[in-house]
Amino acid sequence: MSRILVDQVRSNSASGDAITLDGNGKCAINATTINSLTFPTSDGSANQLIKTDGSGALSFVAPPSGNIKHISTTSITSTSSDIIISNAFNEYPVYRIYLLNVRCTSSNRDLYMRARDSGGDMTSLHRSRASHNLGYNFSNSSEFRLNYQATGDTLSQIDFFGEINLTGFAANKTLRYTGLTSYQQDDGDPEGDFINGCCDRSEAVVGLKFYWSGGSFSGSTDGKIILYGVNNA
Amino acid sequence: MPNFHYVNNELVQLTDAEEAAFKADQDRHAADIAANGYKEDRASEYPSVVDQLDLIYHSGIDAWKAKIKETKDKYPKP
Repeated sequence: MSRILVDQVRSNSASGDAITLDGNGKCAINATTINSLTFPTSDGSANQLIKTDGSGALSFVAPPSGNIKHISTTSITSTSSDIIISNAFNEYPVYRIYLLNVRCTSSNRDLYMRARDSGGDMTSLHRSRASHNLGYNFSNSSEFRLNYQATGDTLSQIDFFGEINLTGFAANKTLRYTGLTSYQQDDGDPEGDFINGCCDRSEAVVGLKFYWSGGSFSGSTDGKIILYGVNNA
Repeated sequence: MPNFHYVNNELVQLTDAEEAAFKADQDRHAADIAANGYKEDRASEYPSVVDQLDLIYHSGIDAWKAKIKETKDKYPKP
């Protein structure tokens, strides 16, 4: 094995060292262009990112101001009585939930969402509405209902899809949501609802719970409940 | 047979208290459907307001009442 021991490396025709070794196993490279990529000659600001112009010139830029960040995914691969998603809900002004291929173990069921605070499930103060029949009001305040007509009805179980945007998680705020849900009825035709709701309370919301009336989540459809944070600035 | 639920994507067996709460929720929903399910069944089957007004205009109140009664009879109050 060969080893070359040096402190500096420079070209014969150059005036400065191209590579300087500090004696502790590290080196400094005196170059702004490496492998045809030209790096900035000075540091950027905190939290900035490096971008390329597509021709090898790199520069520091601020990160995109508006963004959607994935927070968590619950993959439903086993039968489950309910699904709980815990989160501080204090980083983003808006949170978004996607329900994908969610299925109940029984037909003719409704899907519900319930807010959770530091004491666990909240079982009051929920109000929700669906777009059917000029806006059907669900007076039940124990939870938010996410569909107007029962999914599947007399059919075998049907997959449920939805997108829900939520805001107002902090203490003494009104948790609000709007969303769209899609499912199927016994005639085979698709059903869908524009849904919305609100929940007044004094405690901050630190979790959400999803469950079916009279049934459980099926693990047979690789259903998912995905949480995103949405930044608006 | 114990029930499980997902908590932050981890499958966790329900505690005794959670089992009791789960059963209570299921019972409450079943009771609510038994007591009030007819309201949603009726609401989803009534003709639209436009169709009802059209029926009254063309056939009169008695025809309209007969049409509405079909749905009420189909989904009676418990």
